[in-house]
Amino acid sequence: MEASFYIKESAEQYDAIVVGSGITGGWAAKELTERGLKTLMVERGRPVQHGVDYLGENKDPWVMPNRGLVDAKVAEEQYAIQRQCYAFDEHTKHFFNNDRDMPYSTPEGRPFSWIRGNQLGGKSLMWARQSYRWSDLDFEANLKDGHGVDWPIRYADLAPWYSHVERHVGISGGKEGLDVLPDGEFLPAFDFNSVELAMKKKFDARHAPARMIMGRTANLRTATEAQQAQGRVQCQARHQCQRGCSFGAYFSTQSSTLPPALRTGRLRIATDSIVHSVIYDPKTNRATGVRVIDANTLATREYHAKVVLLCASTLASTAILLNSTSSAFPTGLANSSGVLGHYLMDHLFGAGASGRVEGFEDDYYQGRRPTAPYIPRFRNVLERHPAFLRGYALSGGAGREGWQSAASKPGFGKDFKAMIRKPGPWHFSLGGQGEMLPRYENMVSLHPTRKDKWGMPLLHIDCSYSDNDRRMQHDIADTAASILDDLGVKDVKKHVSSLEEWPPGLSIHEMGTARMGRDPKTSILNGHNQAHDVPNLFVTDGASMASSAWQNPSLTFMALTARACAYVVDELKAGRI
Amino acid sequence: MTLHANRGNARRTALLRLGALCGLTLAGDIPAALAAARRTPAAALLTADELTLTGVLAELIIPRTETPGALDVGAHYTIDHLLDACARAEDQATFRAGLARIDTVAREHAGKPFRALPAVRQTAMLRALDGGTAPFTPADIAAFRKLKSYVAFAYYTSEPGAMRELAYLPVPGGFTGYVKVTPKTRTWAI
Repeated sequence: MEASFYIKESAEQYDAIVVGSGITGGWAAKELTERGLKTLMVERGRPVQHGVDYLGENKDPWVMPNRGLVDAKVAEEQYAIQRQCYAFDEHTKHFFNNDRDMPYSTPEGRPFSWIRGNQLGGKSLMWARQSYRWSDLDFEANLKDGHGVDWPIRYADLAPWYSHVERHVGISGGKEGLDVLPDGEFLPAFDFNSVELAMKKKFDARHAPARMIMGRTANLRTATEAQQAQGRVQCQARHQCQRGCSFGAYFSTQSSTLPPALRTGRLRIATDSIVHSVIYDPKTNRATGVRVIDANTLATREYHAKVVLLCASTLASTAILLNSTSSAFPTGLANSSGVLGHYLMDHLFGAGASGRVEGFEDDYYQGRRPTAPYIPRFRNVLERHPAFLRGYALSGGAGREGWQSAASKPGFGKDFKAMIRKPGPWHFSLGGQGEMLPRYENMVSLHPTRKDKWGMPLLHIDCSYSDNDRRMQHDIADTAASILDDLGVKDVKKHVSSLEEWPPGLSIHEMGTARMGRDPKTSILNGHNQAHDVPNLFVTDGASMASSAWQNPSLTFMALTARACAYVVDELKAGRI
Repeated sequence: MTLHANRGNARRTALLRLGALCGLTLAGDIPAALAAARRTPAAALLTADELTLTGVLAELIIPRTETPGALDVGAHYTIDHLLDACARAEDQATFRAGLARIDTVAREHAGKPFRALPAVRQTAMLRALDGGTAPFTPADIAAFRKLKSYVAFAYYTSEPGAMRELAYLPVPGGFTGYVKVTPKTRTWAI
């Protein structure tokens, strides 16, 4: 019974095909099926059943063969890139792409870390869950400083869709009334600990209008009826999110969008199905379906639908378009502008500062909070910074040292053991997350000769940080350090990662390469994520982004997807696509 | 297969020697340690002597008190396995060089391998190693800290280390930003 929605061969004409099953694919499936469309979700990876297939969940460290560490040979040979991700360990590695099977290329000296999921649910299973609205400071940024094309939408276009997705997802956070970070439909925020609360009071008083808030996260601090109806309960503060959560306490495709989509009876899912290309009919100028390679047998097949939505992840969606060539579109489908693959962005992580906090010896905390304090953007809001354009957020927080730092302390024996038994000194850290400018030269293309084991051309990723990006990273470290000094933190040390420590891509916020815009000559998609060139083709994932802003982007991907799906249904009904 | 069996025997011999050296009650500890040995893959990295020395050092770093110590939880086997399975070749070499250095200094200054020294002498040598003082040098500190980090990892990720020595809450049920530290409070294991 469980598997009856899985299909392989199908001669059926669907209303819609959704390529991908991660954050945006799940949303597209839910919105389209609830609005009456018979929808096929196509996923290149294997099925993952909620709860049942969360293999690393609820496993104590001592029952794991390597106590949570990944076998060095396996990591080196199969996960050379994925191992760089903070969430990659023995409990989670089966949710990460196998780099040996799915390689990509980069130019010598210009590394890019492409972190990927390869299963039903995609990266929605391992995402970091931070969820923020953008504001018009972000949607107007390209227009105002001339980098990138103007967004065809503004905050007002997206605000109701942010509300729509937030009510379903469940975002825990506080209402703050900040212009740079609009409030949403929030569940109660997670607590600060004692040190963070003291630091917040000082920070808010000294640095107004900037403010330290609790990070808004797609973990249920409490569960509303809407989330309970999805089968979800409140966060247990285990901090094992990336292993998969049987409580459904964080948003994933499996916990939140798939259940209502399946309840409609209109969803079918084809897993292990690698989309080779979108099928295009030049006579009607319409996409008519997708060509698929079976991940296991290498057999080929086709699926057909009235509309095609690419939600395969930023770079995978663009790779599919680049591989969908025809005499009408020799350089990739919907690429009459020639900008397909260009204007790749990530976020600037890897810079920050940390130090020791004196006192608070009698204060501790209980549970492992799935989020952390957050200082929304303050640079280039009211005043113009002389060194760089755009801005960044800082996130971090305080905690007490545990056994993990014991080795760096002198001693051994009974006293050493007794020292570790008591909570150690407090530390406070802040790390940045900065906006990367959209630049034409940051781009992906199909490798002219190299192919993977399915015969698909490798993606060639050529991306580097600009001078503006580098100057911002240094300001992040300097500013984080001066904030900590000012708050009375001791022994403050700042850090700016080298390119090797933090290559582009490793922030896992890759965006752009099939950007939205007002002008079909300079953009791929219009304000509804609809291809300018092919009206029944949509791209609603991160590929569509015209700028990266400084906030975590997933909530915006969700809102854009839900909005695009409503438009798809209206256009289909009106007979325009 | 033969090689594995031999290695297994060597390990058991090493373990028995180790139990005696550390003054453990054989009845209680050796069966448990042998059980741990059976769980340990045969093709691990360390030689029998290296494994023994690791066990002696681990117990000196995190000894048995009213809760189990490093040897009780088989920390040396865990370390051996993790070095073999998860460490890079250069880290394996650094670890073994650190062990060799300790034995070399012990032989030079006391005429015996470290494990054969009286407990008082072992403690005095470790104190010198920990501080980088004679007969060791400051250059030895880094390798000893690495050893301490392996011992701490093996011990505090073990069931007794997490649940009996520290406080372990697999399912906290929620996050509380403030709890008062009392004399009974212990560090969270995770």
